Amino acid sequence: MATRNLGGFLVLVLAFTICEAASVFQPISDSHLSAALELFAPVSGSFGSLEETYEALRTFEILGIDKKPDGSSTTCHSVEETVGSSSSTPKDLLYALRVNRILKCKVNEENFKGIVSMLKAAVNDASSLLDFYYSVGSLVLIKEQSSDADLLLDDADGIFHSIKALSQSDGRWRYSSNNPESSTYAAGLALEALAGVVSLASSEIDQSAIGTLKSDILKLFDSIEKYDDGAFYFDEKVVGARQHHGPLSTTSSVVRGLTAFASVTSGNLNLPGDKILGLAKFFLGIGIPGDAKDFFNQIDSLACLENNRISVPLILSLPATVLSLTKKDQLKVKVNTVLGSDAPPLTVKLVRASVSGSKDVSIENLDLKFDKESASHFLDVLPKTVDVGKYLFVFEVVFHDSEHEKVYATGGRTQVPIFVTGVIKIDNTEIAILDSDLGSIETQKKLAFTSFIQSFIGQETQKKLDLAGHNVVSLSANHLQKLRLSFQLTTPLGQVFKPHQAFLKLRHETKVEHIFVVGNSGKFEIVLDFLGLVEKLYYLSGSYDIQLTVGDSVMENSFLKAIGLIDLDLPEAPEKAARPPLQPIDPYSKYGPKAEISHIFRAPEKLPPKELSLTFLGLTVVPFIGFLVGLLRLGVNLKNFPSSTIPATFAFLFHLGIAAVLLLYVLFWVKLDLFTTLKALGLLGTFLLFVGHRILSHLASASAKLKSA
Amino acid sequence: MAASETSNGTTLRHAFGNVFALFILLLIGVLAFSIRLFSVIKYESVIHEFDPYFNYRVTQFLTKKGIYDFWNWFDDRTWYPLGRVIGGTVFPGLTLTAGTIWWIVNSLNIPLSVETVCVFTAPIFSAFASWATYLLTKEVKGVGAGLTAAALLAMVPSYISRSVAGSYDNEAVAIFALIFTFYLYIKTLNTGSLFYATLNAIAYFYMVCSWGGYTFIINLIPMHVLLCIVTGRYSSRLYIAYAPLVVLGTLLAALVPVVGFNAVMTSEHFASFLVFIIIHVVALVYYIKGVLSPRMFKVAVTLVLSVGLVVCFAVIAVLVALVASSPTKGWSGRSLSLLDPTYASKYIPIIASVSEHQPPTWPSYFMDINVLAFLVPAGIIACFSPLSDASSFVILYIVTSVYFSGVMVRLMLVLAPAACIMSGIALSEAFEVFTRSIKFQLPGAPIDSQVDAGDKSSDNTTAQNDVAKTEKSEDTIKERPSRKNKKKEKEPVGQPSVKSRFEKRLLVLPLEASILAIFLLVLLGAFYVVHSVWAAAEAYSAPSIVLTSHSHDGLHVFDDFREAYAWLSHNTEVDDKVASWWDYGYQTTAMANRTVIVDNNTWNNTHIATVGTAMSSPEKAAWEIFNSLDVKYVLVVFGGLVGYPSDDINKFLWMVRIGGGVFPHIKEPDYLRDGQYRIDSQATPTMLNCLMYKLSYYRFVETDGKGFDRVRRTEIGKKYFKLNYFEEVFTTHHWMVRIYKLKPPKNRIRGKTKKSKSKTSSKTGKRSGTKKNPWH
Amino acid sequence: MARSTSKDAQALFQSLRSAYAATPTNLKIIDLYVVFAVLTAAIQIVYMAIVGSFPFNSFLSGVLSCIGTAVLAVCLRIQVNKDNKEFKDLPPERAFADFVLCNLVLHLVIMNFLG
Repeated sequence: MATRNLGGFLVLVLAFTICEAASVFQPISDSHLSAALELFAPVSGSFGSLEETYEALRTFEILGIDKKPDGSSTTCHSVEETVGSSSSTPKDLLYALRVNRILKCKVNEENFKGIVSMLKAAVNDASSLLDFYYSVGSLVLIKEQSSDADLLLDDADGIFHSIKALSQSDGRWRYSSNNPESSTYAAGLALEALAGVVSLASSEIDQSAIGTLKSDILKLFDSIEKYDDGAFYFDEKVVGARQHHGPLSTTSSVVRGLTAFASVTSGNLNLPGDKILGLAKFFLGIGIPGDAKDFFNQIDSLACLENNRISVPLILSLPATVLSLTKKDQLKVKVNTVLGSDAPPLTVKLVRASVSGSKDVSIENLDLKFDKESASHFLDVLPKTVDVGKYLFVFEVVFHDSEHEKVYATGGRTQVPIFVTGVIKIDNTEIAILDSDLGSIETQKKLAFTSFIQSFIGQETQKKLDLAGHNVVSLSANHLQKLRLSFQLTTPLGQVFKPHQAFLKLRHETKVEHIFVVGNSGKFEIVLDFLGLVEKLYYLSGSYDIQLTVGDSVMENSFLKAIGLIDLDLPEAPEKAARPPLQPIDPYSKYGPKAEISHIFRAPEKLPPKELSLTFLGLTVVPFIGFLVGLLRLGVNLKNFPSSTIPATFAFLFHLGIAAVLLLYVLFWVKLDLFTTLKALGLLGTFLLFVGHRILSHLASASAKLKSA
Repeated sequence: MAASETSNGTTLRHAFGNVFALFILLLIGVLAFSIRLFSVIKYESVIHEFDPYFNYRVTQFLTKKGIYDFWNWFDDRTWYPLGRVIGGTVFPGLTLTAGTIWWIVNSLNIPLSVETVCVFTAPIFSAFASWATYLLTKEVKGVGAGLTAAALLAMVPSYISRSVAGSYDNEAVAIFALIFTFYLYIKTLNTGSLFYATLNAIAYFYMVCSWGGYTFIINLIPMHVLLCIVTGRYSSRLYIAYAPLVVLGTLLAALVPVVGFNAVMTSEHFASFLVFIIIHVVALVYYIKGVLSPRMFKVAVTLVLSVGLVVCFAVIAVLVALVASSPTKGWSGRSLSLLDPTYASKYIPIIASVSEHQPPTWPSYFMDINVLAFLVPAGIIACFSPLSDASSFVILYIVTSVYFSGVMVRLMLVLAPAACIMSGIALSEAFEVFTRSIKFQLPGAPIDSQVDAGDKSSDNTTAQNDVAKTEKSEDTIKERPSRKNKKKEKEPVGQPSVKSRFEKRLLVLPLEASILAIFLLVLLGAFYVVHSVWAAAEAYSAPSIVLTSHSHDGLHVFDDFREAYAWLSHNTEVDDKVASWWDYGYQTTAMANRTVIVDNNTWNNTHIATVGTAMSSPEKAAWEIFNSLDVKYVLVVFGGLVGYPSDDINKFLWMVRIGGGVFPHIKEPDYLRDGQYRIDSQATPTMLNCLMYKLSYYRFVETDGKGFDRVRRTEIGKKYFKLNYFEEVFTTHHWMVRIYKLKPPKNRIRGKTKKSKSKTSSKTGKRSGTKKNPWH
Repeated sequence: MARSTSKDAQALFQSLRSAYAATPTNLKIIDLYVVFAVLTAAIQIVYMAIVGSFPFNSFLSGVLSCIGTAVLAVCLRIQVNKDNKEFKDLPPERAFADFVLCNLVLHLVIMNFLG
């Protein structure tokens, strides 16, 4: 139990440290490329539907993978026929055109002319948001791709307002005028559509509408949600809308719409940079999603953020958050855009570094040097004041020219937890058996043990652990004595070090384990008074082996080491002492395969040899033959058998009936079940009764006549 | 004399008498049926006690699933985790009977529920039983005795106690089967026709299907045969009556799954085989005797007898060997406790713990067979004059049944018919003597003699119902001729009627004496009727599942049992296991439809002992036992509040004994304070800490300030305590049934649960702006 | 002594045979039938003694059927025996009918038990 408790505790600690460490965001890296390649593996040359094709191609484009799908011709073909056919829906058109934008297939202008008119019509009498989105989007794409087709919308204002009419007071949008539910996702689409309208507008859209739209966007941003690590995201309020979008797709759609809108409108909509940065952090924090759709959303929206007109987020990241004092690691900091491209010239300054949880500051205001080829800022040597432990480093990004302040969002100061690890020195360790009066200490143990630990540490630092031959300590004690173990831990700077765990474990031969926490008051010491412990030790005498566990996340030489043996002799267990609990041979064995169950079958009854049975079968026939022979010798006579016809028939029927009944019995034995047999027997029985009565009465009368005569 | 002088008169009287007897029998049947309906009238049409509920459940299963599923029905709702093979371990007679009745009734489009059929099976069969008694007694001593005996049996209390409407138990049909088998045996013995022998075997088969008591038959009949042989009354009729019965009966008995090969393996049946062989030897001897001249026979006897004896010894040796090798090592526990009354209490606490397996007390004799107890000796004497095969059989029957009833209260039931027959014979004989003497006193008017004999005897046995009235006058009339015919056919030699006439003259008593005697008899009968009606109405009609109590402020009805079972069936999972003492196992499975650990069919002593141990160990140990048995709920019956005497605390010592029989760490002395069983402050700590005490008296003190137990008439010893491993989930209105739930095992790591809880709370705190980023 | 007993025995057997010769034929037939049944039963029992009684129900039904028929036949014999006083009023046909019925029932049971 204690061990499990410890395990659980360890897990907790580990998880804690991990998620602390991971709240440093890394920009898009090469791992994304490989992930993209395997997520968007084209099946038989094509990516399935046009939408998926577009997502794949777009992702590749952003990530700079110049790997056009080898089946691009087939894709182009499908694009052309989609564009060519007048029956294709705006949605297909949209994706076809998007694919086309990337693939640059050769679509002749006539098709464009055909569909432009259709799309315009669709735009003009579109009612639902999605119609607007698709048709407008396609128009925009056509505008990009074809030169001459005239695409300018005549009443852009009308369309603008009809889209705007779907907006809600809180900045969210409805899908269509006739369903009340409003969604953030729709807001993203609407923004994108509106951006398209603005770009297609033949005449300038009046600024008032734009202004209200901007305020809408601000309202939308009021509903933004926040994680505790500074990541912002949008989420649908109404769960269970027609198709519910997770935070990722919602946020990405909003980001797309937002950036698109920002790119077409003049003047900046004043969104706080840290929110943009928070959105970027959100997308980055996802890591590498396993789903193609999510992956596309992440990459696409990051790309949108990469070069938006609002503010470009800069990500400050650390390659390593664990610095080892022994290896003299140097602190490296990178500053990139979300897609990992370089930031404008700037300096990163380490504002403050302090042991987490404590106020005292160990470093202040250091400028990090910039290193060209690794494009990283570094601090070559940590100052002497930095001891092992968990630190909180606070960085600040300072741009060289102040113009960038507006363009880029750095989110002010960034706090990064950093582990500074080092080798902990263990000294004046001693283990001793004390008599009840704290008198004689056997000191030779102490020496041996100390030397052993030192040597063991020495090897530990050489990353080569040799466990054999080291449990030199072998003690023996009785229940009147005490065991004392004490040692000291000091950090490289000589302070007393308090590890997370310092345990002493006694294990009996019968796998019964006891764990004692080594208390520390300046120097670690534990005194086991066996007199008090006999109850807890279940009166188990015999040799226990001693294990010492000292561990911490910043202690490079954490160890769990068998120190040696102690031979306890404890008093006999009294009557009602607690039994030692049954220890599983191995705590994980209960998940292992169980012992195989061997079934016990009943031994088959021995059957006699066949010929014996057959002979007896023959024997059973013998008496019958004897019976027949005897009948002949007695001269059996059927003169009583009635001569006149009617009784004769009755007699015949009588015997027939009996024979039938016996036959029925045989059938019953062979296959029939009881109830069918009984039914049949009932019929036969009545028949037999009747016939038998007739014949027998006839016989009786005959005999009576004979008697009287 | 009568038969000769007015023959046509007698024939006319015969015809008249037969019709009349038929009518009377009909009325007797109605009486037998209706006197058992008190329970339905006073309470409602419910199944009574414990076992009937099991039978009811089995019947339901039969009517639902059909006969074949019933044969191989493995019941997993009981004896968890062992389960029980119902089809192979239950006596199917009752179930099949009720099932057939139900089927017939429904195929006649009379929609009766299975429960109704089950409730009324017992009264119907008691009517049949009284008719069977009539037939049997008629075979023995003529119509008059038959009618009297039938009337007596129709309302004998000890039989009523087992066959009131709703007590749907094996005995209900078994008694009918028993009497009918005996009747057929006697009938075969008198007529010596194979036809009746066959019927006899079939009736025996029905008896075997219905009740374990069939061993009584299969031992009694051989005893009788042996008696006849020893007393030199062997006749070939005896052979015809016995030999086919043994062969056919054994085969048929072996067909019943629960009996199976025991019919030839266990030594309850060996007596019959032994006698079977003996009767063959004897038959051979008689045959040779008949064939040979007496002189040659002298020679033959020596040879044949010696040979026969040798054969006998050989066979006995074989039988002994079989006994030694038979699986049950001879006699099964219940039969052994029959032979040796102290056997059960010594060796098998389970058998001893059932109250109806205790030896009866004298009051219970008087309670159950009332005045018959005094009439029986007279009946025996009457049977001795003259002694026929039939009467000797009846004598044997009464003697043995008296002995058995002395061993077990339950077997009072077997005694009752015998007693009825005997006293019926006695009464009719007495009436015959007295009326005849009266008639001889005033020879002028035989008619009005009969009349006054009639109305004198009119209001005897069943004073206020005319059944017995007419019946009495009737049998006094018909006594002589029937008796005389019997005489003729019984002694083929036939003594001259003159002789009988002379002895009749000798039998004359003075007029006043006889009138007085008749009057006294009438009083006796009246007393019997009053008593048995009282017994039927008051003593035996209570279905121990709904209780009533008369108190100063009127009638109280305690329906706690059904309340509790309903609670179980509505508030617990379908496959929850409920542990209780085995008395309530059947009811729980039948009414609550929940799986139980042990029930009233006590086939596995160890399992019961486990429950007993759990009940009598301290809370923690008990929790572990129950938990290991996968038990969810524990049900205890507690009468302390309303003074219901047969509750678990009173049964507790049996739990201790049964438990201690298997698990020696439970010692009875630990629960007794210097030899006496008490639950007050003097009680031993073991007693005060055992589970049964705690579950029974938990929060009991809250009812009245001081926790006064109305059954034990004392204040309980330990009043304020709390349960650590059980929690009270339900207690019925009068606290008669208390249901506890086992608490789930404690969570090992307190801190961890807290931590996770706090974390989840922080995670779910949506409004609190900082949420953990789930992507990390 | 022994000689006398043997002589007696011979005399006895003489008288027995003479007496038995007097019995009518139908009784003899029945006797023969009984003997046949008993012999069959005996053979089965010997078989059981040799190879053990494994399919116990089969063994039981086999033997009991023989014994049963024998017993029934004996009953029949008793009933139809002319010089048996008790059954004068019982016609042999009736006895035979009973015999048949009883046999049928017996063998139904046997078949059921044979498994």
